Amino acid sequence: MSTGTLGAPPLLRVCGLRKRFGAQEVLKGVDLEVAQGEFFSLLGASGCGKTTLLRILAGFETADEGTLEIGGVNATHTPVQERDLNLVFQNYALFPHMTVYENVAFGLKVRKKKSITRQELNTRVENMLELTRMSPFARRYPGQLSGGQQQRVALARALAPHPSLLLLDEPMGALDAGLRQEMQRELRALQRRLGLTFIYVTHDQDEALALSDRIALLHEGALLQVGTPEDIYARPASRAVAAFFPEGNVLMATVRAPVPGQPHVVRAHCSGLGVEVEATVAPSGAPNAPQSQNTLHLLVRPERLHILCKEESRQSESADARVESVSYLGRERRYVVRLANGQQVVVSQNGGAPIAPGEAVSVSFLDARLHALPAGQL
Amino acid sequence: MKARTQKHTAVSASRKVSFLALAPLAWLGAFLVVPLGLILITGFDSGLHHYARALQPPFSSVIWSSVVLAVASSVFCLGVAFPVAWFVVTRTPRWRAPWLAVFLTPFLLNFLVRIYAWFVLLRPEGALARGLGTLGFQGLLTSSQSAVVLGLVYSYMPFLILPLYAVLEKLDWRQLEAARDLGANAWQQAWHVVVPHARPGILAGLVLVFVPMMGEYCVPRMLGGGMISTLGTQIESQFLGSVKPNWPFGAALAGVLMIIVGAALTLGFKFGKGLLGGRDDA
Repeated sequence: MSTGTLGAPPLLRVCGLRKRFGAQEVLKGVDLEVAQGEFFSLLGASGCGKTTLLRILAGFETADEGTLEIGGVNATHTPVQERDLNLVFQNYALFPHMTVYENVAFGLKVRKKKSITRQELNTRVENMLELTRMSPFARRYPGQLSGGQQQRVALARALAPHPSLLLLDEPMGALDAGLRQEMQRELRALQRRLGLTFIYVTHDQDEALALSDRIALLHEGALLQVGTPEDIYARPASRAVAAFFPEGNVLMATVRAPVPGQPHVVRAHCSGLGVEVEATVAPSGAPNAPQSQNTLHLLVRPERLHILCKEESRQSESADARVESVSYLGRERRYVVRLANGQQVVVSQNGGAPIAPGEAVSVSFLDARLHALPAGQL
Repeated sequence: MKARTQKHTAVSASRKVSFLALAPLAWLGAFLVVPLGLILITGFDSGLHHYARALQPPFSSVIWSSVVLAVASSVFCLGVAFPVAWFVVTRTPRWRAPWLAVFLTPFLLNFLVRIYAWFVLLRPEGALARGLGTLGFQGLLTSSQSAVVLGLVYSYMPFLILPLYAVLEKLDWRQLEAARDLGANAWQQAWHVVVPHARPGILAGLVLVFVPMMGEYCVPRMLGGGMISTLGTQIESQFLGSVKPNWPFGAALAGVLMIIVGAALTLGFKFGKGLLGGRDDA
């Protein structure tokens, strides 16, 4: 398991966080570091503990063990009201009896310590409304707004007190697909423009990939991997991470020889396709690459495989196979293909003439170098 | 043809409905319009004379003190019922109904029995009065005024607890969390989130207790020690008094009571509507 360690002093540091609800251990020792200005996602299926983690960060729950630092200051026992962060709730939790304007102004009004003048307050609220394009709706009540508009108000309300950290709990959950994409773009642009630090909880893999600088994958209360979207998707640290994005093909290969000068790269023979490939072996603690004749498990995503009709292709680096089924998904066709050795693989192709089930095809890798899943995690 | 038969059945159905509506209308006529009319007629027995008398001293001060008594009792009632409703609503769901039952069981007992129990407790030689006396609070609850308020608050409490419980149970707790997250302390959460949410229940409950309190004569009679004169007790003695019953004047007082109660209802609805006018519940 890799930890999210960074060079610069982190804005948020979580150490050994544990939480138990009755007999169930919801968080089993979580360590995290989030840098200033990062868009950081907590990704996991429902029940993985991501919401509990977020609620501990916000202060609604207390961890049984572990510490929490915000901006270098221990905030483990800081009351909710005094934490320098705000939360965008899953269903927004807007105040129904207040106008949009009053909702956004709420956080500024109730915090008397940071006393600001009436004029400053107005300017700040108006700026927030402008930022979220809600100025024309300032006098409306939440019940008179659409889902997307309510979401913007929730965002403006949470941003108005200028928190150093913004927590977002599945904020797109209630939006339909089209609107969600639009809001994702807006959110990302806003975060970049203002240089804000976001911690974004989601169960949607695509959303996490599209938005995040880094992703922490949470499974049954423990972090499986923390890394960039590419790390998580293309270079998963374990089979469990790989499995989080469905339809990854795992192909067996036998190590032939190390590649000189590159400690984590070996040449290997993939029996399923009958071709020789280079594979990066994730450094799973041990510094030495696998020995010759060791078995590797190569992860190949469906879109990194290519198929061609038998007649058209005479590539040397390809293997014979037969199409078993095909599904049309609009932007791609997804083929289930059986290789010569009997293994089934999924191939997705976003162009070319459709190939009918039963046809003979040749399958090849699009990448020169493949990612091998760490051994011993099957 | 088919359309016509459908239309025909629809018409007869609506006729059936209007026929059914006759029953409640008959009820209203027999037991509301007729008696009210009789009271009004009786009250205007000799022109405006009885009404004029009702609005002059000493009766004007009786009206005024009745209003003050009912308003004060309603406010105290709210002061007690709100924490009670809040307590019940903050229990885990399976314990809410039992707790609510605990707070409402005293009201299974007959009204007169309960008031008589208070009478016994609040007598100068009663346990409560003596206890308070030893603690140096001579006459704190036992003065006729405060005893009546206490009796009224106690008697009408459930009518306020129930609507409050009903609205508070629908409160979205995440709104409280959101307020906390934005820096609101407990009072700010209560004032900005809980009270606005509960406002319809508060208003409905206040109307529900104020209206019967205005006309109440039993509590002032039993706990007032003969010192408290309200619209209720006045009306009672004008109709049933052994000394000098005066039905027309009693009817005029009843008319005044109706006007006050009507005004309170109108105000309650209008005020409530105005406060909630901009709101469009999602």
